[in-house]
Amino acid sequence: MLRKLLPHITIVMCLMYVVFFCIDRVNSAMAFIDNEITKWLLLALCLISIVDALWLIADERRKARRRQERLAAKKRAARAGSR
Amino acid sequence: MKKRKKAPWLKRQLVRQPRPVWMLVVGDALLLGVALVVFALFHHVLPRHEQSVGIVTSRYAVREEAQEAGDAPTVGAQAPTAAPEPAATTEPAAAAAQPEAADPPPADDGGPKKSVHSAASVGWFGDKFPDKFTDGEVIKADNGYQSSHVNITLQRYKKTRLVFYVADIYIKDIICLKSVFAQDTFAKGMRESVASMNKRAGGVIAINGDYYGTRSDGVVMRNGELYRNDTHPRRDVCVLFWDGIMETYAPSEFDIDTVIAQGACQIWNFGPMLLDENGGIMDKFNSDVWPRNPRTALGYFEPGHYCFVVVDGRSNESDGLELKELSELMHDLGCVRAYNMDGGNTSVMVVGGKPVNNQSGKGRITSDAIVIVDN
Repeated sequence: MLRKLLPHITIVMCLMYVVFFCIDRVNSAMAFIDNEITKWLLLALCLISIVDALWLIADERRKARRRQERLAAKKRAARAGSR
Repeated sequence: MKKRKKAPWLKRQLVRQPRPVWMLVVGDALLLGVALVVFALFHHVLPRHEQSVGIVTSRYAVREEAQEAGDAPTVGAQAPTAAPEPAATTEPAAAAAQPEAADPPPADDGGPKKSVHSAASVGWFGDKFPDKFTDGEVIKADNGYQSSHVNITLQRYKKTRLVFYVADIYIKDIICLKSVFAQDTFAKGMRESVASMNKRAGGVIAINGDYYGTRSDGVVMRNGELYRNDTHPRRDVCVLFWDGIMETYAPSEFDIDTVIAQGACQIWNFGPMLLDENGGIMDKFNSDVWPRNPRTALGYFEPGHYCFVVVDGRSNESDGLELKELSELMHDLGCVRAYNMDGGNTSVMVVGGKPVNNQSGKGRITSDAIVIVDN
């Protein structure tokens, strides 16, 4: 479940930063970027992005491994058939 | 046969694949809205108490230092000797706010007399504007207020798509101009209406301050106490000294130790400054919020003589002013120093318990106010 939610949380947090950036361009006195909460949110975004990316990499590796295994199985079957 | 336990609804929804794209987009947008609301709650609404730095300055210390130096107590900036001529475009405003020929600030001889009056002569302007104050009588009118300690003339000016208010203020004592915190508490996110703050402080007239409570940085000094010492690298600073002189600084020029040593009484950190060191109009400002907006500004003519200016905006009647236009207005009024306070929806001028201007939106409660008290 967390694995499915994490990409959405990443998207939402990135969009939050887009909103903060836009407001900061218009009115920097509101301190939407330059404040403690936003700094902690940035750390959270970094950590979530890292976990998300690691999961993605692990998924890709698993898929690649399966693809290779499937390919190897096909080859073995083909070899067995040719004999 | 054992019945399989049904998974919770949310889990079933998340496991269901694939979902329509529009549903994902709407879901993420809703989640974004919720996240922004929660952020705003913590960033804007929930108050967080802050600790005051605890450094306190007093007019008595300024007096003693001046006596030691053997000088008249003119700290901070040069006392202006003459105000510039107002431009024809804002004639009525200029007429209302045109300062009288400035006498030198009250410099007592620094001799052995140590009466209360002598010690308090820093920031005492009773001898400077004798005709401005009554003998104790309070005269209230629609466009003014006169008493033994303050003299306020309030004017409303209307031009094409522009409405602004100018309060021309003379005070007998520097403590008549004071800052008030929302709920009388120094805290980030603490807010209250300017009318309420003015009423609690017993003020005659008030404007919003620099809204320090929306930020966790910036210098905050109020009524002689330094609450926060964290100069923002991009925001100009305005200092009102105990002797009544007001000075504005670019962030690079500002040094907290120097201004405290010189007897700072109030420090605001919003800005930008609206007039240069010669009292001239500025072209470039240390702010991104240059377009037409509702504005609040504090103007300075000479020690004891100030003005509050509030410009309406974002309405059918008034568009507000750009920073350059506000700079021109303050110059035309005859100010030699002027400083922009928080504007937009916050911008408000209150007389008694009611706002006199047409606040943008429904107005906004803020963290501090600048109040003129009659005592």
